[in-house]
Amino acid sequence: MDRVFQDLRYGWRLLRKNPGFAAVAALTLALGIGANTAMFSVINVVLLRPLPFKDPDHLMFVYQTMANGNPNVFSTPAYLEWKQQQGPLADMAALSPVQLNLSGGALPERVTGARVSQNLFPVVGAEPLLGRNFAVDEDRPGSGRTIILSHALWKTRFDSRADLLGSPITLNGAPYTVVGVMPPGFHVLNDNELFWVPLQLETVNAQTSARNIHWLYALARLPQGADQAQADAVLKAIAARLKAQDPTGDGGFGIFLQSIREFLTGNVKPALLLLMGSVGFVLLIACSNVANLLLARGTARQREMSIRTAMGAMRIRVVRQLLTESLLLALIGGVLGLGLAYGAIAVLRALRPPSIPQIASVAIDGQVLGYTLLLCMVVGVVFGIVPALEASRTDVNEALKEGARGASRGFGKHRMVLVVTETALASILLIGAGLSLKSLWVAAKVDPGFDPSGVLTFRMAAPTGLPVEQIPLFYQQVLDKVRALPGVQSAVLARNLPMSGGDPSMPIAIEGTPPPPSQTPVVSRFRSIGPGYFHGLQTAMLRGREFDENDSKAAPSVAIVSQSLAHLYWPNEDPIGKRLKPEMPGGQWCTVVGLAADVRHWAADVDIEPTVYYPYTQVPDSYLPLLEGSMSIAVRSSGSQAGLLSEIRSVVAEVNKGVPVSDVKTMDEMVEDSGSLRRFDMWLIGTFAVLALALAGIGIYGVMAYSVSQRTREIGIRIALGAQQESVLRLIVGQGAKLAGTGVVVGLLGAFALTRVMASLLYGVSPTDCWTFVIVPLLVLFFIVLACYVPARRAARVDPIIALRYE
Amino acid sequence: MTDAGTMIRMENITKVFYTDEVETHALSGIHMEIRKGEYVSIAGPSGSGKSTLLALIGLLDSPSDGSYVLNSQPVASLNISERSRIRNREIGFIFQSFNLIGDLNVYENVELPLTYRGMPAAERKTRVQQALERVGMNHRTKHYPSQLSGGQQQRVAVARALAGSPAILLADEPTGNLDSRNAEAVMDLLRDLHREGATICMVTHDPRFARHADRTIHLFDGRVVEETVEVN
Repeated sequence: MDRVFQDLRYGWRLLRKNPGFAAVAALTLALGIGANTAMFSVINVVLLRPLPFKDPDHLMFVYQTMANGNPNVFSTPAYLEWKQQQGPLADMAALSPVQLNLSGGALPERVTGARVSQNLFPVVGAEPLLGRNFAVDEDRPGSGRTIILSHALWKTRFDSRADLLGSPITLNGAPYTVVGVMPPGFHVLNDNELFWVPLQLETVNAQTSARNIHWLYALARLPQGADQAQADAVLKAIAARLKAQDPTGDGGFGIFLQSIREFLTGNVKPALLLLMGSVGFVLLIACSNVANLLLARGTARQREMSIRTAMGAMRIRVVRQLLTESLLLALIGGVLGLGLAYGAIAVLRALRPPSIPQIASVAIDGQVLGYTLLLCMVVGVVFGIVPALEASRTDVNEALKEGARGASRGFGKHRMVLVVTETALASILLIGAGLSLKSLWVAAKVDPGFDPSGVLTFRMAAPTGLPVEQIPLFYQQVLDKVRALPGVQSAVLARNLPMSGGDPSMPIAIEGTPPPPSQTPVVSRFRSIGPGYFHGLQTAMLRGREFDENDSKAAPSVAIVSQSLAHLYWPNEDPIGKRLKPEMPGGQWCTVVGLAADVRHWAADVDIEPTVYYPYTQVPDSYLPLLEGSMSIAVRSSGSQAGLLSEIRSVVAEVNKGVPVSDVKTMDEMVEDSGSLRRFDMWLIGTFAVLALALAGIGIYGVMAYSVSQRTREIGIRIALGAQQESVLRLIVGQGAKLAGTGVVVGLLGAFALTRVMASLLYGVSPTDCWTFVIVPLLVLFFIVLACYVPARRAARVDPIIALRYE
Repeated sequence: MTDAGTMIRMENITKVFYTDEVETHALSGIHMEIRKGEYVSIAGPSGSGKSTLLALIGLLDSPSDGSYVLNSQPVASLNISERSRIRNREIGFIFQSFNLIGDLNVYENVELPLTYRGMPAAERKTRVQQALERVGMNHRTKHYPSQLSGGQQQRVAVARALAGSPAILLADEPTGNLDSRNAEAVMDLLRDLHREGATICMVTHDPRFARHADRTIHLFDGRVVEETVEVN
C-alpha cells in the first residue's frame, strides 16, 4: 500500500510539473467521462431504477392478439373469458386510464388517474403508504365511491393531511371517500397517474360489453419460477382450446405478454441505448487522445525509465507506476467530468423532453457516483496500458547514452492505430448523427395535413350528470362564446385533435362489400369531430362537405372519410354517397358526405391511417361513457395566445364554473412534442458526434504536431535539398490525410454495420443512406486535413539551419 | 562583377545574429571567390564562422549585408521559394552526419532532390543509378540508412548531392563522423569528383583533409585571416 501511495505522490508531482499536459489530458477525459456520466444518470433513472412493484420481472402486461396479429388491450368479454381460464392469467388485474374533474380548490382541475380492479395492488405487490387497498365489495357495482390518491396529489393538493383518510373529495361533482395514499413514485400506466378508483366492471358492462371495444389494460403476475416463454406456451395451449370451443371468437388469436419494464420504457430504450453507445465512442476517442499524449510523453521519459530499470526496477514495477499515474489522471478527469455531467443534467432537466419519462428526477446519486468511479478505473487502465507497456520496454544501454534521443521516425505504430481508431469512431458517430439529422429533416418536411400555426388547444369535459342529449348544447355554447372572442378566426371540436393520438381503431362494415372473414376485419380509426373541423384546422376537403349543425342525433347518420381510406376501399370511385357502419353497439349505417385529405394524427413520422370521421353528436350512446364526455377544442386566432387563454377560461366559467380547462397547448407545441424523442435523440447524438469529431481533430492535430517536432531534422534536410514550402505542406497534410482516410474507411465499414441498429429510430432515411455515407466522410476528411494544416504549416516554416543542428 | 569562370563571389558579407538585445557578428566583411572547377576548403577553429559561411553559400541562410553572386546570379536577397529552387538545382550538400532520411531507402534518398525538381521518373531513375554507381553503392538501393555503415551512408549522401548535377558541392565536415579508413575513402571520392571537374567547397578543421583542396580559406572570429594554396 505504501508503494501505491508513493507512486500516487510521484504521479501527482509529475502532473503538477507538467500543468499543460495535465490540463489537456484531464479535460479531454472530463469530456468523455462527463458525457458518459450524464447519459448513465438518465439511463439509471429511466431504465435501471427499481420499479415500484414487487418482483417486477414476473409482472406482465397482457394483451389480446387481434386477427391481424397485432396486440390490443382487452375488450370486457375477452378479459373475463381469459380470467376464467386456469393458468397464468387466473389472477389477472385490469385497469383503464380516466380523467376526472377535481373540484374543491380555487379552480377545478382535470386530473388523470385509472380505474382499477380490486386485485391490481396485490397483483403488482404494492401497498398504500397510508390507509388501505379497496375492499372486494367496493369494486362491485352499486357500492359507494372510494379513491386511493397518489403521494404527489395528496402532498400538493391536500397538503399531506393525515386526516384526509375517510374524508370525501369531489370528482366530477360526486363525493369519493379517500381510503388510501400510495407511496411516492408509485404509478402503473404512466407517471401522470394521480389517483385510482375501483373499476366496478359490471357498472359499465352494458356499454362496453361489445367484443370490438377494447379498453382494458390487464396485468398478471407469472408464477414464481416461470419465465415468459413458459407462460407463452401455456397461453398458446389455452388459445387453441378456446378456438376449438368457439371458432368465431377472438380468444383463439392468443395473448401477447410484455414485461412491465418493457411497457414503461420500451419506446425510449433503443434511443437511450443508442445514446449510451454514442457516449461510449466519445470516451474511447478521449482515451485514444490521452493514450497518444502518454505515448509522446513516454518517449520523453525513456531516460527516466531507463534509470529506474538500471536501478533494478522490474518491468512490472515500471508498468505499475505508469498505470498509477494514468489512474490518477483518470480520477482528476472524473472529478471534472462530474462537474460537466452536473451541468449537462441541469440542461436536460430544463429542456425536459416530454418523451423521456422521469427526466425531472435525473440526478447524480450514489449509483451514478459509483459508476463514474468504476469508469475512471477502467478508463485509466484502457488509455494507460499501451503507453505503460511501451515506455517500460526500454533499451537501457541505448537510452542512457549521453545525448540519446527518442525515436523520431514517423508516427509510431501505436499512434497510427489510435488515430485511425478515433477517426473511425468519429466517422461512425457522425454518420449516425447525419442519419438522425436527415431523418428529422424528412419528418419536418412532412405535411401533417393541417396548419398548426396560431392554434391554441385545450381539453374540457361536459359537466357531470349532464344528460347525454344536452352535451352538444353545452359544447355549442362554449364554442359560440369562444368564437365571439376578439381575434378568434375559428373554434372547432374533436374527441382528439391531431398529434394527440388516442382515438381507437374500429372495425367498419362497407355497404355492398361482402363482410370479410372475422380474421381480417376492415379497420379504420374512429374519430368524432364537430362542425367546421376541417376548415378550422385548414385540412383540405377534397370532395363533398363538412359536418354542420344540422348533423344532429336525429338527422341521418353521416361520415367523412380520409383519402387513404377511400383509396383503400373505393379505388377509382367517388366515395360520396357510399355507406359504411362502425361495428359497435348501436352503430348505424352512415352515408359518406365528404372526402378529407389525410392527416398525420400521431406524429409527422407515423404512417397515415385510414380514418373515418363521425359527427360527435351522432356517436352511439354506448361509446359516450368511455369518452367521459371529454373533448378537445382548437382555437385559431390572430392575437396573443396567452391573452386568449384567460379569456377562454372566463367564457368556459360563464357556461359552467365547475368545468376545468386542461391540457392547454398550442398546436405547434403538440407537433413539436410529437417529434420530441427524435429531436432529443438527434440533438444528443449530434452533440456527441461534434464532440467526437473535435476530439478526433485535436487528437490528430496532437499526433501531427508531435510528429513534426520529432521530424524537424528530416524536414530540415528536405528543405535543404530544395523542397518548396508547398511540398512540405503536402507531405505532412498528405500523411495526416492518409491516416484519416484509413480511419474514415474503417468508420464507413463500421457505420454500415452499426447504423442498422438505429433503423427503428429513423424516418424516411435508409440506415445506409447514400448521401450521408458520402457527405459525412468528406466532412470528416476536410476537418482532419484542417487539423493537420497547422502543424504542416509549422513544418513548412522549419529553418533548415536550426533543423540540421538538431542532432 | 563576375567573369564566366567564377562560381561564387562574395563581397563584404556580414552575418549578425540578434538574441535578447545581444548582437553577435558571426561573419564580418567576408570577401571570397570560388572559381568553377576549384576545390576550396574552409578551415578555422570552432566558432570561427565556418558553418555560418557554408550555410550562406548554400542559401540555407541569408546574409545581413553584402553581395553574393552564385553562378552569375545575385542571390543575397532572394525569397524562400527562389532560394529553394536554386538550392535544388545548383547546390549539392554533403553533411557531417549524413542527414539521410531514415524512412526512405537508399534509392529514395538519392532520388529525393530530383523529385523536388519535378523530374520525370525515368530520368530520375537513370540519374539515381548513375550517382549510386559513381559512389559504388548501386548494390544497396533497397537498404535503409540504419542498415548501412557510416562510410556507406556518407557515400549515399555524396550520391544524393551528385544526382542533380549541381554547380557546386558543399561539404560540411564530411569526415567528422567517420573512422579514418572511411574518412579517407570519402575524401578520395571527393578528390576524384574534383578531378572530373566538380566545384567543391568543404568545411573541415582537419588539416590532413584540408590539404586535398586547391586552396584553403582560414577563418577566425568571422573574418578571413589567411588563404593558403596547396601545391599538389
